[in-house]
Amino acid sequence: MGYNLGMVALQGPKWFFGVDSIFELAGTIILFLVFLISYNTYKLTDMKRYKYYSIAFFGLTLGHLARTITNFAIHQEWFALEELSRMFLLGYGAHIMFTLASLVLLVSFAFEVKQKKSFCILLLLMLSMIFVSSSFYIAFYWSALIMFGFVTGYLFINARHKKALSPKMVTLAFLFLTITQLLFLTSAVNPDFYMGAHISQIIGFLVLFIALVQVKTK
Amino acid sequence: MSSRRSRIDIIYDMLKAINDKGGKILPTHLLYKSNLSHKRMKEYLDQLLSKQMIEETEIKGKKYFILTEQGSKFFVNYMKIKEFTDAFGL
Repeated sequence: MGYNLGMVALQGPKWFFGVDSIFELAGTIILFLVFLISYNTYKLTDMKRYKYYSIAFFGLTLGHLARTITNFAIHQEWFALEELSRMFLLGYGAHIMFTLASLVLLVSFAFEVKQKKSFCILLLLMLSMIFVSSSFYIAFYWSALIMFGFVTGYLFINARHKKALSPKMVTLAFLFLTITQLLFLTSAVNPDFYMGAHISQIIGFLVLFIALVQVKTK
Repeated sequence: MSSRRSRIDIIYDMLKAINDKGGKILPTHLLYKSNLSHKRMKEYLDQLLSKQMIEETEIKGKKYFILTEQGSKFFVNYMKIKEFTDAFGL
């Protein structure tokens, strides 16, 4: 399991580098839209659940943005070779921290973990396990896979009881995002999965965007 | 059989009752229109007052609840809030 971070982070055919950054940017914008809608709902209702949801999606947006910028900077060769490793660790470190914190918040929400201490312990345990791991990129995607899986399960149970289409669309979007984590994880074994992960991810975000349009046009 | 109302639905029903009465309502009318027990209505009223969606006022010696601007905004955007809440299981 001694994978080097750079070995598994940027895989796939050369022509795809740059395209992945465009996909990532689109995802960042869609995550930001979910944050905006959630925050506006919080402003209208003054209910804490919308506040926490908006924080979670703001965190996901920042995490995604960190990865988008890092990948783009590497493709564009913004950094000298000696700086590359440091910038890579910084960008992906921010991506991992923001994404994990946001996912822990979403999972806590799904399982109604109301105590802040429980949330903090869960987050600290996860971050410490990932950062002491010899292959923290793999450990991160494994953790993300589990958490996206649980959130998808929660959304699936929610959608079963709803007549509207948007809960089903959101569940489908999260299912694609769960598959994305699995593909990123396996891209260490087969580089083609890196491209598959980005395609699965953009499909997930597009489905999420359609669900948001349905919400906004109500 | 209609399904159980969510918190958002109950708040909407209460604000709608006030809006339908021209923006102000007597507590007894609100109790009747919102279809809640006295105890539960009190809980919701406290919540609406603390979130500044309604205000309490006295007109000719009688207590009324008035719909505020914040309450009107919620009322107008209810469908969007409900769709978002349902979509993400909030």
